[in-house]
Amino acid sequence: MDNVFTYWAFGLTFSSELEFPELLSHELDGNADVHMSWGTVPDKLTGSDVTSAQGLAMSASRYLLKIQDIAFYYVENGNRVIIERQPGADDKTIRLYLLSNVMAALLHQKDAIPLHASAVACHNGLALFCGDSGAGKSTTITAMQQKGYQIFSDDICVLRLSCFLKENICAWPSYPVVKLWENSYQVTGTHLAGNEYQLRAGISKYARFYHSSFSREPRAIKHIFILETKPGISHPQEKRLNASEAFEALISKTYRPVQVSGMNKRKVNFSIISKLAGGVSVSRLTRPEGYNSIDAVTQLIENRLKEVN
Amino acid sequence: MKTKPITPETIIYKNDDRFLSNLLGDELVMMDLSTGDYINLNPVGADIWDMLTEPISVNELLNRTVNTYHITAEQATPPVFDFVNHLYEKNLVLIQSHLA
Repeated sequence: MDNVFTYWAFGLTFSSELEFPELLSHELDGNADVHMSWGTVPDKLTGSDVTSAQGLAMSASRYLLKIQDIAFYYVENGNRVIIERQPGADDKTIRLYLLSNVMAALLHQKDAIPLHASAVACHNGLALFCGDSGAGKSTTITAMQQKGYQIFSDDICVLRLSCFLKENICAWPSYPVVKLWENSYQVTGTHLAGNEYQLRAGISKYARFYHSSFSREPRAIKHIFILETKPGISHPQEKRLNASEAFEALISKTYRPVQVSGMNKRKVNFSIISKLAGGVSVSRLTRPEGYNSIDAVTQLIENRLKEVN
Repeated sequence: MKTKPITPETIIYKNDDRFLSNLLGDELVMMDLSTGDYINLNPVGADIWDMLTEPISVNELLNRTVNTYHITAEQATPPVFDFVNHLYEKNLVLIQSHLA
């Protein structure tokens, strides 16, 4: 019988035939929420509710992703993942696609929303940093860590309609890895790990593991910062948004937005995002392009967090 | 492109199946579930949207707007018609029938 590894991630428990150093090991108390195994995936998905593109097909409860020379992935009913390894593939890259696109699909199948945001713990809750790829989420939480804040999650925070803590919307973390570009290590003065933590050959992005300080408990969202760069400004600015502006900023920030429409999750996405926009304070944090303003950025963040709490 | 013109006698009703709405402060945000597009209604638009609890003629909408905001029919007519046309273009309301 194959080895089975058990983990906690994204608010779910996993039983997996693949080993994931990225994930937090976890002793199961009963059955796992999700089973992941090697196997053969369906050739394609059929049905009137299926949308397909090159190498990708999905419906509300089935998801098929084919990455040539790496792996084919199939997710079903929010509880089963099958991975079909392709010849010549390396394990790390197989895991990279699984932890991003495939996990997002799994969460959508469970009516959870993966928000494209990193977060730090603050005053009994969370400060979220929301933005597109390259907006500075991981760099910002690393800089905040150096000011004494504990990192809660990198890249994805999981939201569910059912998750409230004393009327505050709460979020679960993803897994204990911060993924930083090489120059972000320099910007934040963090020590760059060795090449074994490089995410993919040819890409200068590296992983920092923080398993020993990772917490599985969901926390109440206290404030959301929308991170953006803007040409033509000379220093970082931060501005509070009203509920409509917050909604507009947040509605596009679901991770892997194509899955929201393809998997028929617009209703859930709208419900959660509009609750968030109406119930949490949100501000837009814009910084100049092209130079390192991280100290000014963290100052603005700390000022706002003092005000919010 | 919509071909039926909106007249004072036109009866309109909410396209409930296709839209989800949520109050954000004093504005209303509505999402078209079939396209993912969303539209914001300011407080006045949200008030008028509230009057559509049942199918209602545009004339009756005008009357209620005049009474709610204490303005004249001349003042109310252009913005209310614009608003109703806008809702119709966006599929937020449908036309039930035209009275003769």
